[in-house]
Amino acid sequence: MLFSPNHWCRPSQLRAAGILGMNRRNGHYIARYNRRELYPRVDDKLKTKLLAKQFGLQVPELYGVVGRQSDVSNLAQKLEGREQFVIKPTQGSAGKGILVVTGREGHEFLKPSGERVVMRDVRRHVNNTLSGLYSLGGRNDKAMIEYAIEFSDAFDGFSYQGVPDIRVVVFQGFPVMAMMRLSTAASDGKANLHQGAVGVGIDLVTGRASRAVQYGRRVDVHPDTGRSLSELVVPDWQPLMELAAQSYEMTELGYLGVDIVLDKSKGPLLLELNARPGLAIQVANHAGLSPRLELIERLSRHDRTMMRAEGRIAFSQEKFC
Amino acid sequence: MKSRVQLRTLIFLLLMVGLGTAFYMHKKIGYPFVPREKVPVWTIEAKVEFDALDEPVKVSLAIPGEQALYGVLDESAASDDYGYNPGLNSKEDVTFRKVVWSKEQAEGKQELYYRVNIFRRTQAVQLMGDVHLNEVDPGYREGPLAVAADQLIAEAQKYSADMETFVAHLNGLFAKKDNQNVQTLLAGNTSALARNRVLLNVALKAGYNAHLIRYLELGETANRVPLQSAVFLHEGEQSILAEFGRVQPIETENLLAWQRGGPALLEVEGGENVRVAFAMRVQQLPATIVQQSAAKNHLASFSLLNLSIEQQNAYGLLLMIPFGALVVVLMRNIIGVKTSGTFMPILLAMAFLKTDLLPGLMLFALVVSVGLIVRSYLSKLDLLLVPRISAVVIVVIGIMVSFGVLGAKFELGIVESVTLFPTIILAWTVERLSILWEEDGPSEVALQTSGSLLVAVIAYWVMGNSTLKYLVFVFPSLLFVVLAVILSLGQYAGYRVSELMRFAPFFDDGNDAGGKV
Repeated sequence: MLFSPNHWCRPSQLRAAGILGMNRRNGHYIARYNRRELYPRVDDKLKTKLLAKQFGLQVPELYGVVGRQSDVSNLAQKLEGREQFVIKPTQGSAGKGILVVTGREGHEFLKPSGERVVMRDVRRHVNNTLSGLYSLGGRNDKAMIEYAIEFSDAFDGFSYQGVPDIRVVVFQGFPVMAMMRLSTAASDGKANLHQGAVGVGIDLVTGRASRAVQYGRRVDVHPDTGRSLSELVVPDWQPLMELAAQSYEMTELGYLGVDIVLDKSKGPLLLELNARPGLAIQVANHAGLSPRLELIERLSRHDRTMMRAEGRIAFSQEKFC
Repeated sequence: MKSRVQLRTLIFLLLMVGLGTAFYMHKKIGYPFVPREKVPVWTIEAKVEFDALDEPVKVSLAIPGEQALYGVLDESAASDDYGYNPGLNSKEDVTFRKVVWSKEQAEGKQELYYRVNIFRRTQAVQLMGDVHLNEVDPGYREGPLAVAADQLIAEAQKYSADMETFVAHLNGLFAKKDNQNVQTLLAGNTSALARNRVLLNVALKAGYNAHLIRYLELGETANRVPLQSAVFLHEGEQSILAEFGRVQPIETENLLAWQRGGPALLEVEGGENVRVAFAMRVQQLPATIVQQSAAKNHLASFSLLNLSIEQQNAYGLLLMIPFGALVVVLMRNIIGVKTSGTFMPILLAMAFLKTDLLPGLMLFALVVSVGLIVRSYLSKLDLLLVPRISAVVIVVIGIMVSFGVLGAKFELGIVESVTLFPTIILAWTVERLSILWEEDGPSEVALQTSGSLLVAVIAYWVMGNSTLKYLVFVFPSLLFVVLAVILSLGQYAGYRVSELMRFAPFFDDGNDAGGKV
């Protein structure tokens, strides 16, 4: 199996398709365009959120922060009157340690899966978060309490639990590729492609699905809901692109993954940023990143820096479709 | 582009310096690039134990000297707060050497160690002069012992032509337990040593030049090596080693004479319950290194070769780490194997080098699986991260210790390989994998563990390669070459082998691959 020719391709094929490899991504793009000292802006979600507010970018509203173990005791007070909320670690990775509460019944909290938890469980979750259980390298962390997204009706039937999000790779402020990540039963409700979420390539002009993959292989319908993925259209596409493109000015990171969710009432919200965005987006879009990145690198420095977000989006929409 | 030029220059310089220095050492000092000839080096440890009587203590132990086939590379006598007199020669002759430990006062159980590195000469040297180390016992001069000995000598000589045939016949007579004379001589002498003393006295009385020898058989690594005794007879060019009651002489090829003649192997003043035990470890080293070390050659004084064998062993492992790093770079950046932690595979490989591959892998599987099971139990107890991980580490240490205790109980060879070093590495590995389990789940643990193990096994093979070991030990400047190779690999921006598989589905349905920009 492993050695059958179908499971392998040739480097020349990859080059011809313009696929960006891990070594080139790390050595050329991330090392060159992402300055190390800027990483905290994206690795710490609290910093990202505060920075986004300064730049006027839409983010899920922050209800409160638990920074010390001693604050955990008055957690109940902080959650007073909040029917729906999300608790997440500020330095978590890959969606770990996120507790979503969609409602309350008496002293019980309801999770999207229908599971019920009590205050004691919530407190333990926050305690674990503070001790660094969900954070990169096990560092001590803070817990953020924020607005729980009510995701747009446009995605009904496209996701199994979890919030479907849109990942846009932004290079030097130009959106170069976009993908929607739909959680599945296999991915345990997480929007992580390694764990079996469906990746849907999104057209940069229209916000329409172009094709979809799960575990690197093409799929046409959502494996759990059976809905045809070609019907997927992301509403509010233009504001979403603007949000993605403006993240560049905010972070100053040249090679950036921007994760955006669509809220029913508030429209596109910036969820988190990633300084080392993965390469699976190429498979979902059935297109290589390299030619697009190189095209932007060939622009004169003047053109690149003087263009506003709208100009960059227009450039991308003209060239990359 | 500027940095690229800098890097290229640096790589070039490193290559020049590394290869140039190695080549210079090869030409000038004459170290061969390939260790054609290897000689075994035995590390023998004599452990002296006794109970001190709370009075001044003086311990003297006979130790081996230079011999025809074997030479002493270096020696040491490790014992805390004992005065130590190294290698005292009680006579001019190198065959009489002893080490003396002394202390003003000592009480309770005492342990003293003497360690010596013995190498096999590539060519035998002539050392034994015409020495007379033993005299006939007074008891054999007259009386019943003398009569019995004389009758045996007469009987043996009747059928023999030279020393060899005489000894053969004499031992033939000794083998007859019902012989009246033999019974007289053996009265009460049951130990092998006492019986060989009988043989010695009879041989001396017959006019042969003979002395008693205590020897060790040089063989495989072993924890308990018996000290045996025999009688050495020589006459002109001819010499044989004989054992009481054994017609055939003993092959001397693999024997190290620990003591020749001499009064006692071990003398202890101020102690009782005296015991001495010998342990042995053998390794193969290039002949050139051993010869340089033995001669304490001045040319070698700037190299690692003039360190003691123990230090050399430590540096030997240290110098192999860069090759492990090279393997990791190749496997991660060129092949694309996922490992947990950049250098965990190297540490695992070093642990395997200490324990050997198969026991090491077994130990790894056992410790890691038990460690992870304990981890999953502990995580149900609502513990914070750091205490939980610490608890796992303690459990791992417990597993390793019980492994050692069980091993000692059943005399498994594995016990001495489970030392502090692999213990720490395995405990740390379990910690890392536990964190990984918490963060990325069991499938990621399985993936990264198998990746780490694969890289570790390859690194083990590379780091354990004896030719490579020799090369880098004799020409440490070759490490610059390794550095240059790693630096040039750092520029590699092409696809990883794993990506050829990862992106293969991209081309499955023959779509317009690459058509889009």
